[in-house]
Amino acid sequence: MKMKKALSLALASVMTLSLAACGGGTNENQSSTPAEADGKVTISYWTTNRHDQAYMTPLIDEFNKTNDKNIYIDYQVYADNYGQMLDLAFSTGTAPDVYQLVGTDPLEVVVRDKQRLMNLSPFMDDAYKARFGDGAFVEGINALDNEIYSLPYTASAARLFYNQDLFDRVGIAAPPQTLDELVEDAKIITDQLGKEGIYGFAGNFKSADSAVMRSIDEIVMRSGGTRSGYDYKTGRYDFSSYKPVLEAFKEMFATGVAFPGCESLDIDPLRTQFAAGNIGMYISISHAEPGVYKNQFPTEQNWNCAQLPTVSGKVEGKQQLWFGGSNLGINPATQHPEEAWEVMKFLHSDEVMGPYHTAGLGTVMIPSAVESAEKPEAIEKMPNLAINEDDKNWPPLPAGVIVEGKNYCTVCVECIFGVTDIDTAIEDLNTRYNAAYDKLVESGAERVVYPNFDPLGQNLA
Amino acid sequence: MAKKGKLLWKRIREERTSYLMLLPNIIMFAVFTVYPLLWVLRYMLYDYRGYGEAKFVGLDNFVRVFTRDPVFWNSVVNTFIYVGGKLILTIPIAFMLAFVLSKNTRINAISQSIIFTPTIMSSAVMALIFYLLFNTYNGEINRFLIWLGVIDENVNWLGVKYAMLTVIILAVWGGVGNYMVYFIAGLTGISQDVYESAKLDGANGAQMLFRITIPLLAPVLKMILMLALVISFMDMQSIMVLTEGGPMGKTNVMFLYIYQLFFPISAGSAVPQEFGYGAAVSLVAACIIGLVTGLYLLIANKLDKVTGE
Repeated sequence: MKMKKALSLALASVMTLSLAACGGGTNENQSSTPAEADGKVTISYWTTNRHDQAYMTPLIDEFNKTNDKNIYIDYQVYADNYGQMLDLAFSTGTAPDVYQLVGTDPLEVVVRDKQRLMNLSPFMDDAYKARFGDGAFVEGINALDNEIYSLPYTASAARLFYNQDLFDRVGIAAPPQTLDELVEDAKIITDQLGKEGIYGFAGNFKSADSAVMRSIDEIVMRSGGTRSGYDYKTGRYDFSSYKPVLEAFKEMFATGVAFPGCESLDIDPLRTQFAAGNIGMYISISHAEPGVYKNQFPTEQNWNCAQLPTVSGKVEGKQQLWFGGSNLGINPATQHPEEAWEVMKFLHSDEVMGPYHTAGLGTVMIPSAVESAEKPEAIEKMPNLAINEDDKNWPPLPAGVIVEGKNYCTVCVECIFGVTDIDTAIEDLNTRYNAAYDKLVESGAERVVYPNFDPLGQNLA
Repeated sequence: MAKKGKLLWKRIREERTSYLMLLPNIIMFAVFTVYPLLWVLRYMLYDYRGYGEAKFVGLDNFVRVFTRDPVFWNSVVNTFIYVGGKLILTIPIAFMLAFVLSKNTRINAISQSIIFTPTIMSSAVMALIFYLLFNTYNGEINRFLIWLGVIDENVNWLGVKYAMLTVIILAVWGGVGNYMVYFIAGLTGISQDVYESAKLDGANGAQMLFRITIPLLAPVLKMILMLALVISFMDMQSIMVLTEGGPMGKTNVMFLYIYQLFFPISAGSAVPQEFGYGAAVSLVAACIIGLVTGLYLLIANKLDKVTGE
């Protein structure tokens, strides 16, 4: 009997302990300090950049061995659920010291409401700031009330990617500059090569947000329209500039010119078909595609990239950078702010970022690093991959607008695939988005208005 | 009162081993069921985005659910189509398979194992496989159907018209093995004496199926249907991977919609998190499932009484 009791107690204890173990995964990054960190200050660094891991790992190892500040960088690379991991880490007090910023929250929300970024200004003197070049620190992008919270790192922008071999076969001399030419070129390719299973245009419309933000939004802005429907001049939402773009895309999908099944296509399956020579054109982002076709889906196709077409063929507005101006930040709750700043300095140094640029791992935005670097091979071959004067960060969108019902990206995709009428959709979006913003303004938020704003000049006076 | 307390304490002491054994479960139940439930009941009355201060909005979240959220009600309609389609196909197929494979032979055992395999597979992996099989451009299903001559051009299985059908096929494929096992358990519980008596009375196979097997399986069937109903209402993982609720919301089911309110699927999603509203929608969804299940049990019990009489 005693034995039975003892066994029962032991079993109950083990189960209780195992339960405690399940919930006790707090501070995993700090408690599982690697052996190499003995006696050093460990600074945890989280990022999602997998494409540069092979380049960064030996550099960080070297830093850990040779730095004279007694710092050990605990370098962690995360994948798809990074945003949720970060949310969880911040809500449980286990967030990293230095981390990559993600999500679409305006800087104001990240700094003031979420309290997730440390003010970097006290660490930077004028000489250090100068290495980032003129206009490097922009309100709402990496600075707030003239205090700096993140630093320029790399930039990326949307581009039209096309298969030069297919263009040559059907006799298209140059990539399209207008939306009409885009539709016409796509039609020519599908008409002539459709029997071989080759189509003129494709889009990754499985994820409406990802697809619309990299294609429709960018073309609208470049054509002189609004950013995500917001008109900074009037301080109101106005989606009417989306109409010609949606009509052009709709035409490609309604007439069978576009690749079949795009409404359920992710970007990677799309890229595999492009790599196989089955797609004439698609829109994606400049920093990713060279690496994709070199390492992920190696291809024999002769592909190239061009600027996005616009409604009129002229550039009538700046094109929002896919990302650029900010990348890493320091957790304000870090126990080691000085050491975390040293890590930031190392990660943004010319020694790290110069060869980074040369290797084509990203278009580096730090002038002193770019000056020391050679021109990347991909940009040498495809000059349009480079970030240029038409790629810019627009002013931040109004923060905290909660729109009831479908978001504009979903509605745009519905219009493209003929589920919703374009005029009705634009009217509905204007009504719902303005109602949501009016409600926010009524509750005390300040309306974002720049009376002299125009999409090309971006005058914020 | 003091005597009652003493008695209770005495009883606890006598049964302390049992209570200690129960402790881990009670802790887990409290942490993973009771606490989230209390959290939902609190935040459904707030406008809360996961950070900053939660703003009390009273019943406005519920007013929004019932009057201003067509996306939710579209997801409710989708859920009913999905659940109906899944059950109408899964239950008869599972029963037929169980009926054919219930005899204890080697080939039946192997067949049962093969059919059961999808049940233990990751739903995300199943969805990825289905994505490859059903993709419009070069999916094997289209190739096979063209080879058979059933279709003459590729069908857009994941498009607006057929996406829900594809999602249902995936659910049937993933669920039929599980329900087959339940039915086999039910079938083996029916005494062979009944069948032998029926044979002596000259009953044929069909008569035995409809007059003996199905009626005697009724209690098991009732439980299987209730389980299938509740589980199907809560399905979302495979749909999230296969279609993300698309295209254009055609496969967006209730629990996927709720998940999206709490956790935007893609990192760059333009949709903000709405914890307070998500909590309110969760409660409404739970009530819908409770209502349907309760209604089902009521009808089933009434039918039991009728057949019993």
